Amino acid sequence: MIKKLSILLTLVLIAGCLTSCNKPSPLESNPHNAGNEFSSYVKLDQENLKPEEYYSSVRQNESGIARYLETPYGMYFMSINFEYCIYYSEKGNTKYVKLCNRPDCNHKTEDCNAYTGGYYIGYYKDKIYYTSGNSINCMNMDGTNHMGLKTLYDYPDPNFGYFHNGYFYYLIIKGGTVGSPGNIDNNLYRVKIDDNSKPEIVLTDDIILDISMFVVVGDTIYLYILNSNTWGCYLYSYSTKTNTLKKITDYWFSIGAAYINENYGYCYRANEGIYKYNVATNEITLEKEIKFDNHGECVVKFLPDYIFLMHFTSEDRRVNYAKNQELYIYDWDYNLVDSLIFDKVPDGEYGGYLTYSDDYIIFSSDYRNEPDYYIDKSEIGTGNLMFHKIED
Amino acid sequence: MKLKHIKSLSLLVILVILLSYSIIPVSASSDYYSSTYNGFNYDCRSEFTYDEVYGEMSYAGISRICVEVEYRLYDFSIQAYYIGNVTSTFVKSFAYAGAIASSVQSFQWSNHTYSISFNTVYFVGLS
Repeated sequence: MIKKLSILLTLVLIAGCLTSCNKPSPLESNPHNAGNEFSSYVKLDQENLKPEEYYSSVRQNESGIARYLETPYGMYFMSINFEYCIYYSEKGNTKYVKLCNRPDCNHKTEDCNAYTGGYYIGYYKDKIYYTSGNSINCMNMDGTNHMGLKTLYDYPDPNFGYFHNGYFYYLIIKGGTVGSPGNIDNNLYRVKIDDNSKPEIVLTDDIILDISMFVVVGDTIYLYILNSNTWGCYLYSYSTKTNTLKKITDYWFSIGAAYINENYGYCYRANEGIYKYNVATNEITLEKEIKFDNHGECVVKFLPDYIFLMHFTSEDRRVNYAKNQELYIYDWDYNLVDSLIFDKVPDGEYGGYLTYSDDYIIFSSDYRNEPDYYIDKSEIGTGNLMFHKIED
Repeated sequence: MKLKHIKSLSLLVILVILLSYSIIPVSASSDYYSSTYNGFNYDCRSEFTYDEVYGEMSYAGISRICVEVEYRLYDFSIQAYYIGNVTSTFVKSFAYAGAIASSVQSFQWSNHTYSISFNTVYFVGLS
């Protein structure tokens, strides 16, 4: 009897040693997701790794806020077409697939790996974070192991915000939207997402009631405050080091046509051109005059290698606004290097430029859905620039 | 015999069509609905414009009521959709939930859900 027990114990110990040597990665740890194919191809791209901050910082040059992620594992996108699901693409120009491969899943309930029920997603240290109402949650990169982390405040008011370097920055918007006359909370909050700390107030000021967007750059928070007289924004900066708030200019534009880093800010003023803000000297200068006969509206994205200007030619914002878009590509000496028409948006919907990666510019013909077109950057300026369809 | 069979089948098809209509949301820019719950009247008023969406409900009974409005809007200044959701939480007698767009936003649709004692008594989608 003792001999049998010893053999059994030995076998258990050997089995234990073997399993500890082959500890499953977090990507394979969901107990109700055995055999998930995503575990085999949601993989770390070791060759092209960038600093953690590159992936976890808010992306200023995308359409929308906190709905698109570039991560060391690939690209992620959150759909808001009545499903609130996360899609995954290995490179951004490859097909986007739901982060759930259960054939019997309707992707509309919490037991689905891809489902979030929320509006904002972020990346931080090998996890995807997402909001759901007034709470923050996280999951593994393959959609497994969803966990509720924190409740930010008492239900029911909505919020607006994004994940940035391990924090979730947010506004509480009782009026239902940023800049709504119904908003009453004039605080900007933030909360650390990977510990047990509580939310803290970063800034309190009534200008927050008219905010369009805020951008965190190092110790400075830039605030784009709506100016209904110009359709542009006032630009403010707030130093979290010195707690000083100052107005930079009366005429800037919100994040649809502006970008700010630690040294410079850029914005396109409607039918004037591209302006540059020097953070050190506080000067604003016109760098490139750009005007259109039929102005419509312009979206400008200041990417690391090019400046993308999308000219929306519709005269009426509410009638096929995004139907015809002229895309102009400038280099950083402000020379026009290429142009193209994007005409893939269905009637009555909004779509167009979505975001970028190292090699591609990614478009969506309908912002509600996953990306479906891309530009190959290597084709810019060659005479062969075209939109490619994202396919299998 | 065959005629009777066809008649029954036709009635069944009509019934299915009628039932499917009863669960498809109404699409309009404003809506008013009135009915009774536990013997007391309740009214649901829903509004949708490009600039504002709201729902309000009144109920004569003692049960708590709730209005929830989900909406999608487009923000031209940041080139992005928002999906939002406002709720009155459960209150007595009168409930209101609504959202107002800023000058650079435009609502696209709203879904209004009206509940009494956690039971949904009316739903309408507006655009």
